Amino acid sequence: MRDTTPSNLTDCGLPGIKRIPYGVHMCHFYRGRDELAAVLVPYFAAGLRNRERGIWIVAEPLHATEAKLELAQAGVDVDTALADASLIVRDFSDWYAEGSRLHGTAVVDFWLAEEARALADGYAGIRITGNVTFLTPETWSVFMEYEDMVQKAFSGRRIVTLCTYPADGCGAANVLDVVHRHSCTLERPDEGWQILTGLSA
Amino acid sequence: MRVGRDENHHWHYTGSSAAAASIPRLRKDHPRHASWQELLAAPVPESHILQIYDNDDFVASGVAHYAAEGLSRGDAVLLTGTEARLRAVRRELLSKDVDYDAVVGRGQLSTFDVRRTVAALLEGGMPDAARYEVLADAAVEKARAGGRFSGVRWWGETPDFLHRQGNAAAALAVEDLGSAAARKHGAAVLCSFLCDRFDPHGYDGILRDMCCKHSHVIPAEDYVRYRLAVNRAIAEILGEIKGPLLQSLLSWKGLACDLPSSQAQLFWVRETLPDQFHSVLARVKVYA
Repeated sequence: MRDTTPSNLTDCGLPGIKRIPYGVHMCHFYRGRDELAAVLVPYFAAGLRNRERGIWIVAEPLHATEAKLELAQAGVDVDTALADASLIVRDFSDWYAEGSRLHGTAVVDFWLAEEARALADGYAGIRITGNVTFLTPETWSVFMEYEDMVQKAFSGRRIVTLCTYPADGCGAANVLDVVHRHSCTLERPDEGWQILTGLSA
Repeated sequence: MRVGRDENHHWHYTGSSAAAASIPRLRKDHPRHASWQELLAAPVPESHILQIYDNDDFVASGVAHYAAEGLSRGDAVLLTGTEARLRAVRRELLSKDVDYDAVVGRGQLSTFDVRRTVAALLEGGMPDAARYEVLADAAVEKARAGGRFSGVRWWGETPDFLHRQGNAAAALAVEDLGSAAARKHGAAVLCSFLCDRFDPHGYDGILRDMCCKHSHVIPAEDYVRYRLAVNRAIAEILGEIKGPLLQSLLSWKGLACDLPSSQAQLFWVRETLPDQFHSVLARVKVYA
């Protein structure tokens, strides 16, 4: 008899990294727009291939129009994906304006509701990303509390998460904060990618 | 694990550090705090908090905040300090509109002279655990006033007093007793400790030891400024955190206390990049 239990693993999409578990909460410190596109385009392309709903919250330096163009150039049928809602691309400023009343656990609950909706629609899960360019030294600690909540709440869920942080905006203490609040860190030492794991892995 | 540079100035691992094995490790589920004001306003019962200071005003404002918040939440507050320090805290409480005489009068706030406490506690230059327990039990029982006050929060500078007298061993021993008392009575305990954060020797000695004796550490008055100083110093001396440095940071387990990442980062540099540590710390001092 064929096993119909959904796999707990999915394709990451990045060269050098094959399978990642659902519930994984990854981070990456990117150096410039091109590296940001280099990590997120194959990441979402793989998600679409795996029948996961992709929710891409874009921000500077890669806005919605450019993100869609990059995906199309990678061979993704972006128009169809957007039309059937297997891909949702939102500018951070729009998304934030709508969700500005959502804080902490409410944001986590929002993502869990998106997961439930995607599963009800027949998707294998959701694949999300946020580009964290909007923090100030004063708001940093509040956002780290949110990252803590995500790390706990997403474990074991049908959610794949990648948080991207601009390397030039993160000092060493910020890096320490971020890496210890994620399952693993993606790094690109050469043309291929690798996963670095630590305490939370 | 240590990280070093090769002849081409590339980072690489150089093996394990014996000193690293002696450092207690971070608990994964440890609560973290964002500011000392937040931490001292609502300390978790049984927490044992260390306030590192280098100016007296920070002690007075920190202790007054801790005490005032406790009083407003219905806790009993115990303060053990020098006469001068207790006067400074009293002034701060009055500036926060605390009715000092009233809270003392109803037994919600009690003060103790640290010199008398030390005299009653020491036996042969070291604290006597049985005496400490008797003193602490009596003080807490009286402070609870038969259940009139919901919680107990205690501030003291007994270890600081002993350390300044040159008795570091006794200071550390009192911290152990303080931790035990916090657990036994479900109390929050705050210690203020004079320490030069920019003295590299402290990271192998008293500063590290004191941090490891506490559940939470307040390393500086201005967390944001301190973080920016540490970030800038590390960026200038070590460069970007990537490759082996990033892997080292990921694998690093930290100290066994809730320590803001700025201060934790300095312990990481001390442990993994000892050759760079003095330069980093000197640069932090310039920017902090």
